[in-house]
Amino acid sequence: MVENIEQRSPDDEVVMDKPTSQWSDLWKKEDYMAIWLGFFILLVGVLIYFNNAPSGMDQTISSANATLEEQADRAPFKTIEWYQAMDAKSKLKATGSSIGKTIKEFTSKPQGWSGNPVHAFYMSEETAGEIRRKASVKYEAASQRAQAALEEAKQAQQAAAAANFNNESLNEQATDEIIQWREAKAGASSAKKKAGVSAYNQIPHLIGLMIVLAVFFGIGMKFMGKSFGQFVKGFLFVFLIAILAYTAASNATMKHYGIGYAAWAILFGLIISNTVGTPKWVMPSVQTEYFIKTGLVLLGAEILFGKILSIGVPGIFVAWVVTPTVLITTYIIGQKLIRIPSKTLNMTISADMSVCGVSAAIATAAACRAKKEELTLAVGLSLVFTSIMMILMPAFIKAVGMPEILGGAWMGGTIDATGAVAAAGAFLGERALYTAATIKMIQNVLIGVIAFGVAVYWCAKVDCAPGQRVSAVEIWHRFPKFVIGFITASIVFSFMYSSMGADVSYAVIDHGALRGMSKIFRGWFFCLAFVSIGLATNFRELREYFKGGKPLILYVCGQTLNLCLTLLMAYIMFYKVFPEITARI
Amino acid sequence: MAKSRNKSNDPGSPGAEGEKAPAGLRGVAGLLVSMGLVYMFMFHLGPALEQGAWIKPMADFIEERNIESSMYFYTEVEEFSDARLNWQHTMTYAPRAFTEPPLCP
Repeated sequence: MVENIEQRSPDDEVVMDKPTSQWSDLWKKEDYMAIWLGFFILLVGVLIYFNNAPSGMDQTISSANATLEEQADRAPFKTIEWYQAMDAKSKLKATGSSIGKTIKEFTSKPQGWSGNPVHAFYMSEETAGEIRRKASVKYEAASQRAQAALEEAKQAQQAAAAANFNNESLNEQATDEIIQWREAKAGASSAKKKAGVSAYNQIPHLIGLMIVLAVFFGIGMKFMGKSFGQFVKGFLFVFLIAILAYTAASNATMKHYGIGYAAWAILFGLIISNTVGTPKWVMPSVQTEYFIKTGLVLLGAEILFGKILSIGVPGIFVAWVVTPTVLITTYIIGQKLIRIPSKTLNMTISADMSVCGVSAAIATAAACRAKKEELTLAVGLSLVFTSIMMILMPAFIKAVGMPEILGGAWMGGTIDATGAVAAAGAFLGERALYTAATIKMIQNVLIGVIAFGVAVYWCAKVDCAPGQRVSAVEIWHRFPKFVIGFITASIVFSFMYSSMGADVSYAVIDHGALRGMSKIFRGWFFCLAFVSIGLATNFRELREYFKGGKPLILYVCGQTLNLCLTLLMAYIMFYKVFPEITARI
Repeated sequence: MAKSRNKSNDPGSPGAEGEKAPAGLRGVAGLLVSMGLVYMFMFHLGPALEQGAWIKPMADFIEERNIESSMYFYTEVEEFSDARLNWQHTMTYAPRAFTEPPLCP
């Protein structure tokens, strides 16, 4: 955040920057520091994973692609061999290398648990053995079901092949059997993971990670002219609350409700700051924007434009037409009809509701410089509605007999949180999951465009006096510079993704530098940011923003529009404009 | 994000230690009550509610498939990786019945 701040008028809560830029901003301002720290992590990720590509990757890819070509020519549906070839490629992950496993082990958040919270950090060999024994029984059963489903799929495929794939009924039957096999296989894979549980002790790793992150951010603070020692001392407290937040989010019941670390981090912070008060020595480490901006630079790398081009035209239409329409319309409704007092609150809720929940809220709030209370409110609304929609939407879709693909597209475009989309989609079926996930993924990619657009709009139109013309230089001075890092990371990684090809990129970028490095640290940084928000927020201030229930009304109005438009567009795209693509899914 | 005028990011502001933060026994009592409410929700109310007819099927399904339903971005959810692969291959290696040109390079 820029240090020079002036107020527009005594009654106006909106603050604006005094536009100046200096060379020393490059190391003194947190916007730039966030870029350097984020780029450092990405560079380390690239260096590690590009040099640890899975062995035999090229041969596996070429052999699988040959099979896929052959099977595509063989039958009018995706055969068992087609799926097996795809599965072979899906196992190619640089994160599976020994260094990838080590990084995962040392940076892991607390483990999933139910009943005993100690299991989030420590599990003895005896307990692990007991869990393994119980899970093995389930795995055996799931494995047998998957095997039986495969046999039935093989028989159905053979019957279709015997008719030279010209009998439509036999083809359809084979397709259905193959889909059932895929679902049974997915169940068996999950059961296998549970059956493979082993003893662990997370505590030394968490202590190590805490030291690494304290030094990492502390060095940045030193460059920015703050005290390294004071930051590190307070950071230990902030990190401990972040661990608590992750622990609560790892609870099985909380996962069922889709309540993630962001909610717990804010809640625990709020409880402390509004009861015993945040200790004074912790405040130098309550650096919401520093953590968020560094996390956002990492998030930029995960926004791969090349990726969405390879995953389907109808989804692009649904996500890229409906989402901006809903975002802009909701913002206008908020300004003109509901009269939300704060433009930044209006924009943060609109983006959070129309794009993809928490991650969009973080990016937009940072781009338009919303206040921490506004981000808290937007995230809170999103989490409540996500839990409700995750449970109600699949039930409604099943009850009215809506086609799986239409239902998946509808949920993918409307349920805010990405994880909840996966749960609701998979609950309906594999096809619904694939459609829902694709649309949500395209929406995720839209975050970059929206954050950039909002930052420019705010600099050029909102953060200036009415009627004032703002020059390009002034826009540059006011522009939140971390957005440049965010966009640069996205462009560089998108370029690498496209130039390496989808298959190699899957192994070393997606399942290497991104999931093996960027994702892990980004999660921790956002969690630290939400803890900081909670530690610096007062309930009374928060209540002020909720006055008259206007944010709730805005969310409900926007989501209603979103539900209607997404359903309409999904129907048009998947059933009227691109029915041949729907048939392939 | 902008700094609000009450400077609640700063030490001594509401929410931080100092002037308006509830102090002493009242603060400790508030902390204990809040912790108690969290405990009640996590260990009693939450598990009881998820036995309801509307929530149980979804809760069981998430448990069985081990879905990270509380995550916020596609790189954090394994199902998205599978979905992306499936779509990409469906578009690139479409079965022969679909004679249209590939929809992606």
